Amino acid sequence: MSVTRVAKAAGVAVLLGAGILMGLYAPPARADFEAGWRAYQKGDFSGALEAWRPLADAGDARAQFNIGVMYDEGRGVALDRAQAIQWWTKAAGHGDAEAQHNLALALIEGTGLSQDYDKAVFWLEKAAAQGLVRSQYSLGKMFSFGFGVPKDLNRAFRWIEKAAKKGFDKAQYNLGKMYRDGSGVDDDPEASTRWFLAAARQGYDKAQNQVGIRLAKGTGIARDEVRALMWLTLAARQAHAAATKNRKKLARKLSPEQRAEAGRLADGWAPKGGE
Amino acid sequence: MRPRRDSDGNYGGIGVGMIGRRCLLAITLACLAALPATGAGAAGKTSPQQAARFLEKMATETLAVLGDHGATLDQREAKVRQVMRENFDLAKIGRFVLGKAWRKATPEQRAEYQRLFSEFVLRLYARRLGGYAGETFKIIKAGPLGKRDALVSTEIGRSGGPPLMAGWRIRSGPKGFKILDVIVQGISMIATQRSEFRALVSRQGVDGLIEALRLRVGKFPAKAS
Repeated sequence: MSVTRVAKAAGVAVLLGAGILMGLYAPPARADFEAGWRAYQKGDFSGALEAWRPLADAGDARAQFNIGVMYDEGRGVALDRAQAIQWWTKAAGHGDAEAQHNLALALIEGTGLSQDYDKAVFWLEKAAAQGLVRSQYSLGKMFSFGFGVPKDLNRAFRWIEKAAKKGFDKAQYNLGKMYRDGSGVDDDPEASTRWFLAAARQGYDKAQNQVGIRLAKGTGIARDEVRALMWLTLAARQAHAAATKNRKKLARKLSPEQRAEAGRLADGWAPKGGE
Repeated sequence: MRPRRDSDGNYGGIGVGMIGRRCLLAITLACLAALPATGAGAAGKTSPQQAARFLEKMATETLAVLGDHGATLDQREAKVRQVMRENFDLAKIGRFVLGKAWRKATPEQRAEYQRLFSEFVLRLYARRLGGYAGETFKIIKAGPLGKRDALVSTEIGRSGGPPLMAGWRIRSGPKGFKILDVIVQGISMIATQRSEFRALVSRQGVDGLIEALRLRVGKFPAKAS
């Protein structure tokens, strides 16, 4: 056996040994992570940091992500966006989808580092491909504004549609707008109302205002002024300014009985579903 | 410049890094003089004693929420946000923080800004002032502030950390008592935000600020696994 072969064999043995050792150490690492989480839940943020820091230094992506959040939010440490970004960059490199998403948002925001749309799109694509709904939606917005990518309304539509179909209210609302305006897709009043309605049912005030307007006019849905008033009332209760005005205008046109009925419907309404 | 660690190492105000602590203190003093008694028929003075009782009631509610260890941190903070939403004059705070840009903003921009600002600021306050283990709340003193407000000074105790000094600017109005500002370790939160937002608006306009707020409230929190 040549010297190099011996060295190689020894190297393999060392690697195997290290692998076994890492295997043996995995349970304590898991326990440490959980201990950190329990401390975090109790509001003992320094305890959480103590538990997570060694794991993060050893390359645990979840611990790196969580420490990034602590720096970003100033929990148990002085708020430090640059530190947050360093930790998220490490975790994102290990394939952590939430870290990829937060890092992308930080790159778009440009606080704690310089704004970089190209890199933001790079990380959003990774997270979106992993099925993270919020990243799919944000990526759709990047395509619709042409930030970090050439403006492409069709691709914007496809990403936003993906997130909407998974129940993300903001994506549903945006899809409603895209069908209404014929942006990235042929305009389709029925589809528009359907998506606005999906977001409105989850309690999204902007969508409730749109549904109210469309029901009052009979756009993409049969006209129903009582239900229109119900949706506008729900949005107005969330202090949506335009809905408050629209509600007043519509209420004046209706009879006291119709207004009372809309009020009863609004009182008995509860949001459904969600991301 | 990177954000600096405060004396207690914990409560750097947002944007402290951009403007520096001394400068912020100056802005805080300026803000204490600002927030004029606007609005027709603005009522008279706010009784410091009544303001202290109002704050004590809010603190009792908040501590009850925080003491509920059957709930997750996210759930507890959501409830704290709800309590704060009822007790802060968020519309007034939002307008003040946006400063001159408010007057130039379109009705749509104002509505979107106010919605996002409320969400952002409630998250920030709930994290800064709640969520810590073993919190206690003590009123130190209450006195008048400016022509019509009261300032209630409090000490928020935390196990495993120095107590946090917080001053609450409170005004009585047609809808009862409302909090207008929190002064944490001598730094006004609305002054801090006003400086940070001014920088953002001058760089990217009101739409840029709205987008930045949207991004901040769109991040993922810490995770369990």
